Amino acid sequence: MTFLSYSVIILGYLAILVFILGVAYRAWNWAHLPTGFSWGLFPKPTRWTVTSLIWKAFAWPTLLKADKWLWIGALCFHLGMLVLLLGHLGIFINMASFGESIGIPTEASYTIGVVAGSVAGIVILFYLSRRLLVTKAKEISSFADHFWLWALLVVVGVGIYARVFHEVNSDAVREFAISVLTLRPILPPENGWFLVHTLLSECFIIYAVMGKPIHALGQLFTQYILVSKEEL
Amino acid sequence: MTTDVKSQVQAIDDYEKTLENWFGEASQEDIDKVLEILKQWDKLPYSRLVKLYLDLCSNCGACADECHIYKSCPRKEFNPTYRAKLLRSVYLKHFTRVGKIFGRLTGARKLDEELLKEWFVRFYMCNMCRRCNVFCPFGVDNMAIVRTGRLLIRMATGKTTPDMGRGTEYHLRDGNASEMKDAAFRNIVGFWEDEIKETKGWDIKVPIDVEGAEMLIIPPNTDYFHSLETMEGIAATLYAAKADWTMSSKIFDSVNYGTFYDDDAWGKILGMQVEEAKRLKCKTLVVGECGHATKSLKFLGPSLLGKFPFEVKSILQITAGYVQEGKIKLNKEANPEPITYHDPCNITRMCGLAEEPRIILRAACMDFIEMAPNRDRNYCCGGGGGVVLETASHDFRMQVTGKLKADQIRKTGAKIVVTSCANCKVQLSHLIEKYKMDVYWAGVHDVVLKALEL
Repeated sequence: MTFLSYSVIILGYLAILVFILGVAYRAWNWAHLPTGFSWGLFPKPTRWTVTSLIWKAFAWPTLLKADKWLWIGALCFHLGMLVLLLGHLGIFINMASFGESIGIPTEASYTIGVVAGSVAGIVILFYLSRRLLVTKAKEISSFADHFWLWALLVVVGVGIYARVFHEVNSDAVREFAISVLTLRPILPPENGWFLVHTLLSECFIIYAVMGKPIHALGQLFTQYILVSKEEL
Repeated sequence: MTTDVKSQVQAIDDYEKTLENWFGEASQEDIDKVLEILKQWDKLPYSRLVKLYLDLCSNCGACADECHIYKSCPRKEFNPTYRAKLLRSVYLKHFTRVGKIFGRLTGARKLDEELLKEWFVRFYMCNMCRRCNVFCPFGVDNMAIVRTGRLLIRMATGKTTPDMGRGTEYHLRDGNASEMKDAAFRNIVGFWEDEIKETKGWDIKVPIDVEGAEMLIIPPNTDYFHSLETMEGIAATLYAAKADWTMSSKIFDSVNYGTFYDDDAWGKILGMQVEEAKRLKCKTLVVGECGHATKSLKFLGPSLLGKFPFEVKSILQITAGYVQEGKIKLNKEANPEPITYHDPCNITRMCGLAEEPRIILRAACMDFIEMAPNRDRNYCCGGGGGVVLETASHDFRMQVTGKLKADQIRKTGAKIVVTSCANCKVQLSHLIEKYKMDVYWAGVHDVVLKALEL
């Protein structure tokens, strides 16, 4: 357990560092390259460039036309992940009392978390089955494309399992997280499943910066090319 | 296998072999050169785009069913992502840490002769229509990747497809891609004038080399021998609208095959066109009915050579303006047959000129039918990306890339299929012949010519 605990602390610092520097580096790396030609695509929004950018980047209107099921899956997955990420803010603030203050009973927030996690997990299985069964996706998938789905599935799966069967004391987690952030780390709560989930998440964060999950950031650049104005 | 499928397979095999022969062999030196150019990635003018596309694509396959080539022949090799992955795999192997360490697991591949040959074959089979770009949730543009691949091959080995390469050579030498000399140009201009006299009874003199004219018109070279009525229609329209315009006896060809594969030649040809417009001190350079030339002069040109001291417009914008302002009179009854419009990728998706041709056609014909899908969602005719320029690609264009278009045209029930791009016109004329369709092809201004009244 102590080895696991120390690994969580060390990898935690590493993940924070890699995430901040990595994201900054990748954004800089893209931004400093020349854009060159105005290689836009029409029709372009006549105004509301920012709104169109957000619409294109987060609602993928054309994907709905191209592949309805993929669109539905993607929407469920990303919404599920968003709820999970918001729920994890409980690492820093007392989510139960925050939830109650805006009218969500503690019981409900527990259910919301588990449901969101399950939805994300089910969609990942759908993604995987697409890669294994649908020819147009299967024939172009490499190991890396399967890998990040499996990795995320394990992270989410362990998280749900830990939450349902081995719930960790959230006050203890908060105390630990704040001790890490204030650079005076204490040992994390001694809960095996919690530690494994944390460790895997940290690994995934490090991977995400280098791998395909970075599309969340990168697509803002590509979509911008599509919506930015050109004189006719 | 039905005969249809058999002849399709045959057409693909034949064209693949032809492309392989055109590529020939590549030395280790060539391969090193490609990698050397890739290493100086930052200097490519559109490196940000391509790098983003290489980094982001998650191989979801959403674009596959939107590609007209994959749709008519769902082979792995025609999957837009597969094509893009050919370049991505080399990028991963040679230029990313992840690819270097994990190799094949990430899809990384070492660049060798075999792969370079596959680049050539696959990249020159793409129509560069950018329909996949429209439907990609990440906004990935496979056309930019294909174009980069062609450019890398060109820069490192000088290789390209023969007819396109020859066209570029002629263009750099003579100022036009079809070896036309000044006398031939004047001869054809005379022919246009005679034809207009014959059909309309108007005495038109096409102004040549008039300095300080408002507009300099540059049509694509096909208007001189394939779609002559288009330029006759343009000349008649400008005459009817009493426009101040001219043509140049030096630069009378707007095409620029460099757009498809070679930045160097592209820039040089653009330079020739721009210099001529400057010399004649025109206020507006008007591109005739030509897709890639409009894109190249209107949008890409200024980012390559700096802002031009004149405006660039498509003739579609000019004529649509005349129609809306009531400067020309069109008699719909001259065109009673049902007419449909094929949206050229370069005109609609890349230049945003979707409504202009419709404004013109609705005013010039009795029965206008939309194709489905249309506008920015339209399928490529199958000749895009310079594929139509190769005589040897005929069967491939008929059996694979143009199949969907033929179906689309048939479904409209129209008697005339109109388009506003020289390449599309050639491809459509071939499709009509091949599939024995009871349809004529025409340019937008061919229709205008018929309907025009003084």
